[in-house]
Amino acid sequence: MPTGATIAPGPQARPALVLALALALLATPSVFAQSARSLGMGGVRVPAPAAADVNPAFAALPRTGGASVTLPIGLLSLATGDYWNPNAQGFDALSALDQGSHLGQYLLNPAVSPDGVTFGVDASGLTIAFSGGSPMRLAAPTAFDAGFDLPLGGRVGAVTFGVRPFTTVHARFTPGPDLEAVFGSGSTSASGTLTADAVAGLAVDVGAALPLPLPPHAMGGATLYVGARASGIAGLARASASFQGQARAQQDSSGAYTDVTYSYDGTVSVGGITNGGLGYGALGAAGLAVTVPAGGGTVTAGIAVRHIGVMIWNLHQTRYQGDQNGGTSTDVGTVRSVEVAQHVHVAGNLALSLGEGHLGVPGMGLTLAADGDLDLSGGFATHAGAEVRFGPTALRAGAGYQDGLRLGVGAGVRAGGVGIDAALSSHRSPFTDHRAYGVSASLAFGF
Amino acid sequence: MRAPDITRSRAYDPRLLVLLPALALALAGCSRHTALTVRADLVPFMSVGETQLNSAPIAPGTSYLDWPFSGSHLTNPGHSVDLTTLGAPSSALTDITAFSLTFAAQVTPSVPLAAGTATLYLAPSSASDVHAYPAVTVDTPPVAAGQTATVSITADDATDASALPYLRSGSFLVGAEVEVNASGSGTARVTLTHLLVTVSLPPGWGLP
Repeated sequence: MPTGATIAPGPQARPALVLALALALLATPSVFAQSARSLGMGGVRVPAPAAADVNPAFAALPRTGGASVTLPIGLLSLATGDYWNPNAQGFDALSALDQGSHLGQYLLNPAVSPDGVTFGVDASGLTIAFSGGSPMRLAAPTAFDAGFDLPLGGRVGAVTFGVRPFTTVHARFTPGPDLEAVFGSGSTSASGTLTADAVAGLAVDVGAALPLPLPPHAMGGATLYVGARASGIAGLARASASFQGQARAQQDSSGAYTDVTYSYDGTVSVGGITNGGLGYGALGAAGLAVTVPAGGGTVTAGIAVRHIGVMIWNLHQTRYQGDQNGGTSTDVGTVRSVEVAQHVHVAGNLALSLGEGHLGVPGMGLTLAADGDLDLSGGFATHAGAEVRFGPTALRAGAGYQDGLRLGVGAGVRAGGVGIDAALSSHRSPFTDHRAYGVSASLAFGF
Repeated sequence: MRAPDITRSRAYDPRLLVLLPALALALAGCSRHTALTVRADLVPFMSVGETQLNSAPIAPGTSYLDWPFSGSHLTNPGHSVDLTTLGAPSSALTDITAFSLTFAAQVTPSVPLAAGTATLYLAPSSASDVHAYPAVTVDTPPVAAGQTATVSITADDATDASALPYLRSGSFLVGAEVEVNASGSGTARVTLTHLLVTVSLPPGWGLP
């Protein structure tokens, strides 16, 4: 599941929702897969049991670093700002979207809507220009992904189990090649595709991860781990839409516009447990990991594939078609959809961890890590980062690409069985080329 | 030169706007500090017959070249402009804070023209003759026979605040009249080159 969260409550629901969410987050480890440690290392996921959501084999790795709780300090920003009050002078929907999809971070400079939008219509066609605010990014494919899941469970021996309420939102806007000109010199045509999908459901996870016995001294003392996880999914609610559209200004031989034609075609599908639209299915994940002693430390590598499976939905579908002469909506009725292997991810992780005493500096340890995640339905992310430890303290830095360049620096300290990590990280804000910086913090314990 | 096609009178209809990336634009509009400007040149949406007049007669003394080309300067019904087709949110039009309207035409006479004046008219959509609603008058230079002069007139909320209610209603009439003084009889070729309408909406235009 994507990490982060997005919520859109009304003003009346805000205090209760914020409190409930905060309590839930504080009570549950690893709600946000990206801890402050990870964000401080550029977003990289270091192979460890806490990263079992990426690779189920990691659940069997030796436990290091303990568990962590990412503090939802983004809620502080949401609770104290003007994000949910359209009547407030500072209300900015783009800022709200940015902060709301990064609840693990207190954004120092969330994206800001432009000060002005200018629509232009002239002989060159349509133009749109923004002034002030964050630079908008609309001429290139734009995606917005957010999600929230709440894993509740544990591990007994090699078996992991749990339940996991979740919500996900995926939205994609793909402009046609002519639409780019609308934001530049102008265009007499425009086209684009917009898809959006929001799901809420409950997953029941059962998995197993264990080290495979290898002959002594095989592969230089390597240990192989295998893991698999199966998730039964109950889809409680879903709303999805897919629209394609195009428009063109018809011109005569003198260049004068003679007519403007447009057409669109799309469907909106909705369903939920309250109207018989329950979805169900199963998703699986499998992974391998290997640890190899090297240079007094350990190299850990893993590869996994996840989100393999099928989901079946019964959704009420309405089709919308239209052109310049008018539009129609057709009640298609309940449509049973069988969706196989949507959003399958293939992920690879690599880390070198050197303990104290192996770097020639007393008390110094080092972890270098890199990862890559390929979404077979479109999308790729990669990160690399380093952590240097000096006794109870750690310094971190890293960079990555995940819908734009990401940077991170961070630090942590451990004492008396508890610890705290903090990070300053950046990301590209949704629908913009704006670089937002956020502060995040995690509590660590049990190490 | 194409012959004027006065039979093809068609309202501009820039419905291209329907496919703008609505989500992002809504985000921009759903902010208290984002203002909106709609700027449209209506000429590309007019037929040749609406923009060109090949042979307006000119007599010794004062003659009048009207746009729209009604054939007589005594009545000018005006050209109807509907702002809602230009992408301006209809619910926000009542909040228009500023406007600008520029009329630009080229005049090519067959006989010399002395200096004259040009007037731009803005009228409510219910008016039967825009002549009763002058917005701004400018001087025009002398023009030699066969030469082309550009006449440009701009009215805005500063020069004609009385027109703001017309624009806020969403539709209005626009017309122009060029007063020329010729020494003899001849013709003038008139071509409308720009009719640029700009309206500004205050910050928060996308919010209820």
